[in-house]
Amino acid sequence: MLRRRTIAASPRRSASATWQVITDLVADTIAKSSSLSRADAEQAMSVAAPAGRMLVAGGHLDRHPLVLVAGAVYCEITTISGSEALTAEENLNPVPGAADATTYTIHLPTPDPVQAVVASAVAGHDRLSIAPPAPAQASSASGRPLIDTEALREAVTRR
Amino acid sequence: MKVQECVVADELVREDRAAVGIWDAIVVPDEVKERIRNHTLLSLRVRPELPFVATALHGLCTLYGPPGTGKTTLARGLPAQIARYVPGRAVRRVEINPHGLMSAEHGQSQQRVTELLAEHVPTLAVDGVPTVVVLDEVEGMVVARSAASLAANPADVHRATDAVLTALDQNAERHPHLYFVATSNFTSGLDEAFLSRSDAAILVPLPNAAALHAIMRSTLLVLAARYPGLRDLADAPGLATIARRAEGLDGRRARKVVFDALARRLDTVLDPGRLTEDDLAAAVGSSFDQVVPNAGETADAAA
Repeated sequence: MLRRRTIAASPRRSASATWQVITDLVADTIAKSSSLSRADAEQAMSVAAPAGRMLVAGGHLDRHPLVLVAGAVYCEITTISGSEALTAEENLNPVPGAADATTYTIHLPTPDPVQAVVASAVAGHDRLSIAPPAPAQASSASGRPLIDTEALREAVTRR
Repeated sequence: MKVQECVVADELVREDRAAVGIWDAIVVPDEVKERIRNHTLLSLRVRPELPFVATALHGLCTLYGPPGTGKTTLARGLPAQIARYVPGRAVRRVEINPHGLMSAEHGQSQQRVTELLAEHVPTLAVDGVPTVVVLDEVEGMVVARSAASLAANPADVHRATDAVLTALDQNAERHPHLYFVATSNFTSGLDEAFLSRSDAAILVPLPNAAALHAIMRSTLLVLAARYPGLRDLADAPGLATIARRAEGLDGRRARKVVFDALARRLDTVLDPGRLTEDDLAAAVGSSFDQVVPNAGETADAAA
């Protein structure tokens, strides 16, 4: 299920502080899982921090989201910079849907010219990826019939 | 109050006798119940198969009318009416208390509405089971912006209305298994864009004389199971006359009239089976001193 969160960056926060807010959001979300740990998520975000701070400082996250995929969670996290950051409203609550997650991946964007830096930072970490995530499902119900037409037909016939 | 606490009910409903009984207890014209049920079935049937741009169906039905006519009960009873027509024979019922969403903090109402309707509710229904979401007294969260004064209504309330509309638009496209049923006593106070998004706005009218007769009779019959002396009164021809005098009362009030009649004499408190037509008639007469009837919205036909 696609969700989006927007985090206020400069001038409201420094790049480091912004990355910390994103880290907390990811960790709080993962902590909702009964089989994943907050510490694990914090460690993954810590590994990605050098690249993450660069993505924030360069304004790249304003346009290219970091994507957290964890069970039913598919959350695009972007930043907002400039004067709008001063008044932006944020939802920093854990993203719902991670309770049944057994694994997760943090997908980082690789815009030019920081592509190599980001790729290097996340290389070899199980939880981090620079591969684009598979598209979010529009709905768990889409494409599946919600009505039993035979039952409906029987009801019409009985009338 | 946390957003999650605004969800006052989240349960899977099957077509059992108790669940169906809720719906059956409300006496309104059959066509009202059929419209509510059929709109829901149509929405669940069509929306997963056709693009939103083609149908413009939001999966939203608004029930409006005077207080005490059974709107909320009908909304709560809807899942049991739908259950027999869905795979799995179960429909989720989620009920929202909109009043808990409004916050005194600037910007918080909008954020809480978005979090609840666009995030939390879809998460509750992430298994894809058809889900009826009851928004009771929706005027608490969807204020008519054209009529609302910024002086009297904080900007936050206006933005909360925006957030509801945005969430409905999102859910319409992404979650065809969600069906929202809003209830309101005040359609004039509802935002025009919200009403425009309603696939159906259905009037739940005040009961006419025949419906009032049915309501009072059913109340007496329920009591008669415990106090058999009331059975004759339930079937008495004079009850129809009393019901005609009761026109203007809502259904809830009509049920209470029976108990008001019982409370008028100490011996009927002791033995409810001794209730008479005169007691009922007197209670009906005095009930108009207690309520201001909402004229002009009576039913044309009895259920």
